[in-house]
Amino acid sequence: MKKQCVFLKALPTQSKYFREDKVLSQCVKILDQYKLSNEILKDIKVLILTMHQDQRHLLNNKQLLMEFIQAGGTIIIQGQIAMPFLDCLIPFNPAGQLTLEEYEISFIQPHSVFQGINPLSLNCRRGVRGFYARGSNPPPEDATILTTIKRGTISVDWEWSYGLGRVFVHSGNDIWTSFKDSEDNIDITRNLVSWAIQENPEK
Amino acid sequence: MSNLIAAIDAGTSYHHVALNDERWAHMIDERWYLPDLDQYDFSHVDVIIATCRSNPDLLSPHKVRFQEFLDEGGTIVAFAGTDPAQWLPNIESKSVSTNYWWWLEADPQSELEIASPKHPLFDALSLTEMTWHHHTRFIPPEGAVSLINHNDGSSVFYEDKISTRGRLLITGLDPFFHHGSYFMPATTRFLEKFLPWLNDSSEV
Repeated sequence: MKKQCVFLKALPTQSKYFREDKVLSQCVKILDQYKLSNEILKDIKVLILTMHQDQRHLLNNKQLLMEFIQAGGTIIIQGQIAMPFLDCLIPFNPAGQLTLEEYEISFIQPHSVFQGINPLSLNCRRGVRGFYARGSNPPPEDATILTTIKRGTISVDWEWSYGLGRVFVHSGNDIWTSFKDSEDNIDITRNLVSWAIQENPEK
Repeated sequence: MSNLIAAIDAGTSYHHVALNDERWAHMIDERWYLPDLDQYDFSHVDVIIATCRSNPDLLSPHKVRFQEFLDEGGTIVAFAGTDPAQWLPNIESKSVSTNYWWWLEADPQSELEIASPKHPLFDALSLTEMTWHHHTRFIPPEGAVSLINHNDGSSVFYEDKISTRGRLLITGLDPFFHHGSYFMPATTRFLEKFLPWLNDSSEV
């Protein structure tokens, strides 16, 4: 089966699940960040980015990335934006000091990425909160907000459509580090990849 | 006299935030973009900081240049996630499972202790400001000075003035990553005190 999805690896120690999980390894190809090219993007439907990405390099490739989305591609963005490398992005806005309750995740829109996941299990490990999100990559007005912290006021996960494609933004650590147990991390990553490779309903 | 400091900037959000924090940005004279490392002249700075999680695969092609810089008396500081054994001389590291949770235990023990209390670093920093978690431990070469020990006898932060004519400061701590990710206030306190110490150190 031809792999339609690329994980853009930024660090040598990354990509364990994409190498080892039997489902993820069948559909995700691992590519070094600096090998990103128009030829690669022409051949795939989904580009998965990590919180460790060289955003300066992505910014230098902004036009390429925007054209990929416009043509029907899906980009998954994770981490905190410092250098807005797509039109829909502006720099990360830290939430500052929040109470434990304010760190709780609220699901605003049902979404298959979060299917089977209890929102209270996100962002809280051993009573410590803020692992999933500690602020927001502020969404554009026409984005669809999926999850928030601070009782609906700070957007964490959101989707944005452009041309025939779309973007999924997660304003926190890589989604496959959300939970303590690997099984839970694999489940949410499978959800994410499964959502991304399905046909874009707006295409 | 101040040291001229260059810090590696891998283009990540956390490097961007941490290196440009106005509390210490003026102490970092140059930011060297990691993929363009071959374009920078190592010889005109006193200190090179390999910031946390700078990709060792991009540092290792410059191994000879780092060695030359050290042989000219330079200082290199390597933080966690840079795998210094790949690109610096005489490094023996121990991969460890990071315990993020020690401070939640009934009798919290960081398992760290100051190994060389008379070292000038401790005029600037206390153990508390160097304690959150660590990702790597090291077996320093003979003659090097461990600054922070783990209770298993390995080092979490050491200084090596023996292996080259310069100075290596090697640590398993990751302050740039956490401060730049707005997470872990101890890392902010570390940078607030460590960078002025590095900037003013009279030992170089």
